[in-house]
Amino acid sequence: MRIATRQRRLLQNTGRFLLNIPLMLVILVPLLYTISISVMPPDEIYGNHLIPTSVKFTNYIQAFTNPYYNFPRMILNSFIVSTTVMLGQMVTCSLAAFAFSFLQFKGKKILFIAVLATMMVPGEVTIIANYLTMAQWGWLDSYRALIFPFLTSAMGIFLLRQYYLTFAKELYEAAKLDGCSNLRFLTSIVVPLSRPALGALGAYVFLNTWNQYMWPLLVTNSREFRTVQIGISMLYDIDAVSLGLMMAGVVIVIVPSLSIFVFMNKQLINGLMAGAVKG
Amino acid sequence: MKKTLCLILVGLLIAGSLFAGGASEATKAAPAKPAGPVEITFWHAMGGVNGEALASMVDEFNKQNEGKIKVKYEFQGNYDDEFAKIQASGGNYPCDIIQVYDIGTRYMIDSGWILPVQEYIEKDKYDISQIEPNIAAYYTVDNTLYSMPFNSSTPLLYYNKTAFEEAGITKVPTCFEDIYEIAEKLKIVNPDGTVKRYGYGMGNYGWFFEQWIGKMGLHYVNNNNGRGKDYATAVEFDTNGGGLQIIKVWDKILKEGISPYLNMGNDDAKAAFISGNVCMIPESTAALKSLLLNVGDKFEIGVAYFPSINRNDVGGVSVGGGSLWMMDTGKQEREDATWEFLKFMVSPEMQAFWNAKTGYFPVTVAAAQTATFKENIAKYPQFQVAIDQLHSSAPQYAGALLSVFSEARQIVQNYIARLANNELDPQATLNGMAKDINKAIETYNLVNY
Amino acid sequence: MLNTLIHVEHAMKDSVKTNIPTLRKKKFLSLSEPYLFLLPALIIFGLFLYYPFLRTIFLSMFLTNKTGKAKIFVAFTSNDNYLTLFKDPSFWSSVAVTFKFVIAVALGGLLVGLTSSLLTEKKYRGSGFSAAVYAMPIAIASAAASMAFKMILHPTNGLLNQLMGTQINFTGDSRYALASVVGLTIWLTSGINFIFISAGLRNVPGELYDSASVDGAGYWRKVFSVTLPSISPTLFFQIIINIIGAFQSFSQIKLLTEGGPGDATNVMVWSIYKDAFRNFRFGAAAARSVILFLIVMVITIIQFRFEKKGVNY
Repeated sequence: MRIATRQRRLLQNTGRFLLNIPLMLVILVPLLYTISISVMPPDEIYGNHLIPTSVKFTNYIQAFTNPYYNFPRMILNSFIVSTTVMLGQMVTCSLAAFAFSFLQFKGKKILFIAVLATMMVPGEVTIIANYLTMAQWGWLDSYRALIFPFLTSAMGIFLLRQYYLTFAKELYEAAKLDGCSNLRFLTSIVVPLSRPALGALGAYVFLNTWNQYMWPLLVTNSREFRTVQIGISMLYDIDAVSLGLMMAGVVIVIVPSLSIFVFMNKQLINGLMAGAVKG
Repeated sequence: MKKTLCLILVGLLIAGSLFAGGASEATKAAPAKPAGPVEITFWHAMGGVNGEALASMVDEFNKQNEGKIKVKYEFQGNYDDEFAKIQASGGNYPCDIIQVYDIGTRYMIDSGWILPVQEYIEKDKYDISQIEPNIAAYYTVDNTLYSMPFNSSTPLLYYNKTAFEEAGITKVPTCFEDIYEIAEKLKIVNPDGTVKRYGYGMGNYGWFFEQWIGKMGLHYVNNNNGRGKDYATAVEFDTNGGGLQIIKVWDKILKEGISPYLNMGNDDAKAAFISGNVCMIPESTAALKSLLLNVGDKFEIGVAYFPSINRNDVGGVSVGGGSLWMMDTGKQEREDATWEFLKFMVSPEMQAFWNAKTGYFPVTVAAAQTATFKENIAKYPQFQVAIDQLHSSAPQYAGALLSVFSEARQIVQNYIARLANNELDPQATLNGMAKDINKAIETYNLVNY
Repeated sequence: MLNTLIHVEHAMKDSVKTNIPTLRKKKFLSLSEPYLFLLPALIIFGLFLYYPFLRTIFLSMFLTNKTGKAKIFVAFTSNDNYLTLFKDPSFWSSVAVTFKFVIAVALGGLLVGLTSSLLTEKKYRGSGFSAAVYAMPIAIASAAASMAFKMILHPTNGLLNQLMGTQINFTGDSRYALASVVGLTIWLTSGINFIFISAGLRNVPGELYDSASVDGAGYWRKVFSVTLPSISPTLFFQIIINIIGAFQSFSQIKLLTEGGPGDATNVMVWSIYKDAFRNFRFGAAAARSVILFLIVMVITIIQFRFEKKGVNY
């Protein structure tokens, strides 16, 4: 009797896992193929091979050691910029979301709509005007230009506000009665409780900033401040053909963000397990 | 405790980024450097193999001029992205030298930011005949050479020599009539109806269209192809019949299955050629080196002149690629240094090196006499074809100058794509192209002249 | 706690007696406090969003020269940028393409996210690995993925064609171009859809499922009557994110199709970029952006109205 149930459970679980295979393949195959191309000798790339017969890392060595590309520096730059923007957004969005969800004040609705409206402004609209502002202030070719315009986002405020709204009002009232200031309430109670949302926001913002292309291209002119997405484009030239090198660049650019993702994924799940206050 | 630590960390990071300055801040604050090397900035759009070659040339210059001049080179994306960048910031003079593509020439001339190199040619009594006349002609208006040619290319026809030999083809095609004939012999169809190999292939690349107009000896735009006293005000390829002929070729090769449609630009065509799926492609001479590298021993690459539309066309190709422009920064020593750098980059030895590494051909006549060049030609005789082709052309086929050229090219490509998708017939395609480009020219002229 | 209360009362009484200005000052501080919370965000928005946007509206009323300076005031004249756009059939087709693109991407992404979330909702051996795979696309830059997909979708050598044994030109054939770009975008956004919907799923109280089971509901019944309604706030949020993201999708178009063939993938954001950065017509580009903004705003307002009706908190 017991054996049958265990067998059934095993079958069920295996079946469940197998159901995942098609979707997982769709997601993984492009990535695996890219890696495959990046280590393939050139004649095999065009010979329509799927898997390389011999693995050569020359493309990676090229991209990393050639001072012309300066990949290590670009990776560092991307890290600095993405981390700062992430932390900055977590701070400014928590503050703003707190005001929108717990506090009452005049013009709350209008201000909220004004904030939300910023989500609807396409990046291309503001990019030139912002570039000119950077030029005027002498901020071109610096970390400031890469970081400042992104220190807050409507998406972050929106996300955190939605989350804060699920908190019981009583919690706030009780704290207020205790003589707790708003700021204290935010930092000692709300923030710790909103770890899942903050974690998700942080991961999302980090990755988005990591993936930026157009803005860093415009505002940075030198290798000291270039970010990693520019790096891949450097491997592409309109007249030359270097697919293997390009794919190596793509992989190099993906690896750090993938690692961050793997690391933060655990945090995310732990955060979710820690539970949240819900009505 | 942990929270305060976090807050401090955040504060530090933001503060740090506030004060982490960049080049612009440093140069503002620092007083005039006493007797250090003059630093100039060079913006370019060369990536991949070509970019690396460029880097080593600049490094060589810096080594030779150690202590006197230092050139900082910075990649700015592809030609289009770089062009967008200079167009947004040219007035701020972010660099001293910039490499701009051929179709950006008219725009740069009109921009008011550049110093025509003619000024230094006269000041330094530089012998301009050192530069290939057919190339210099492109960048000359009214006897003034505006920019220094640097990476020039012409279009060629690359073909799979091995496949030709196997099929017993000895004739090298010179016009499309030949191509149709040969492609027929080379096409391999699978039993299930799909095509294993096409005889011919080409990408939807506006540059080819422009070159064909020139090869027919016709003008792309009016007012002497935009090089006259007045700016171009309308296209001419619709009235002189050139455009329609080209479109009809496109129509034929696609409808009769002579070539697959290989998207915009020429990347897909190159990939198809390398893998042996097509046996002939038009492409720039600048792709030669990387094609040789990628094809390796798979087959032998043959190179021929860019095919003409009709067998009896009288005309010639003009150059593509880019040139180097001096920004009018007003700082005497930087402009002097820039001139030294420009002379270096077009010196025979450097041009021979550049040619051997990339396939762009040497803009300097004397480069052909250098050992570097001769060695390279001996190993890869294909490099010679482009040079011969250019010599057989003439300055009057220098190509058009048009302020909205990059938009015009996009419009041409767009309409060919519609033709390829059977949305329009050849005449409608031509009319659409002409109408849209004319509108663009009108609007531009209205606001800018 | 009681002591604190008493202290506070005393302090307040004292201050009322001795210091009305202090009370006013306290009141002022407490009134302005919310605004102080908002200040950092508002400053950033002001400098880098509101100001440039106003500048853009300003520009849209002019014909600009090649460096972006407003030259000829054309608003309400026959050369008005907006009028020119409305008369241009290419503009309308870009609006149509954008809508098709956005709807396909928003719904497709949601569907994929929902599927992958449901597949990994319960824990079983390998579900953690699957979850990691599903979330992974969020770590992939759209530019990087576009370059990889460009290779995969190549008409003769591409992986996809090899696997299917065909020679379809995915990005150059107007029948497939939009689908290819949509497919790539869904692939890219599947990660974020998975993450947020999964988080929503975990918050569904177990008792709801239990009571449904007791009522004899099967798996699919439970999904439709328990899961979906319970995660409706999450789904609502996710759809908005998907729609707004879809409206702003750019690198895929730039790297794969450049808006073509013809107008097949000419989404509005691409035509804005083209007008500004390829054709140097900032006034026209500005007009396009304003229109795009209005469209997105209307859609978002409609969605929020819908939230009041359909979403349960």
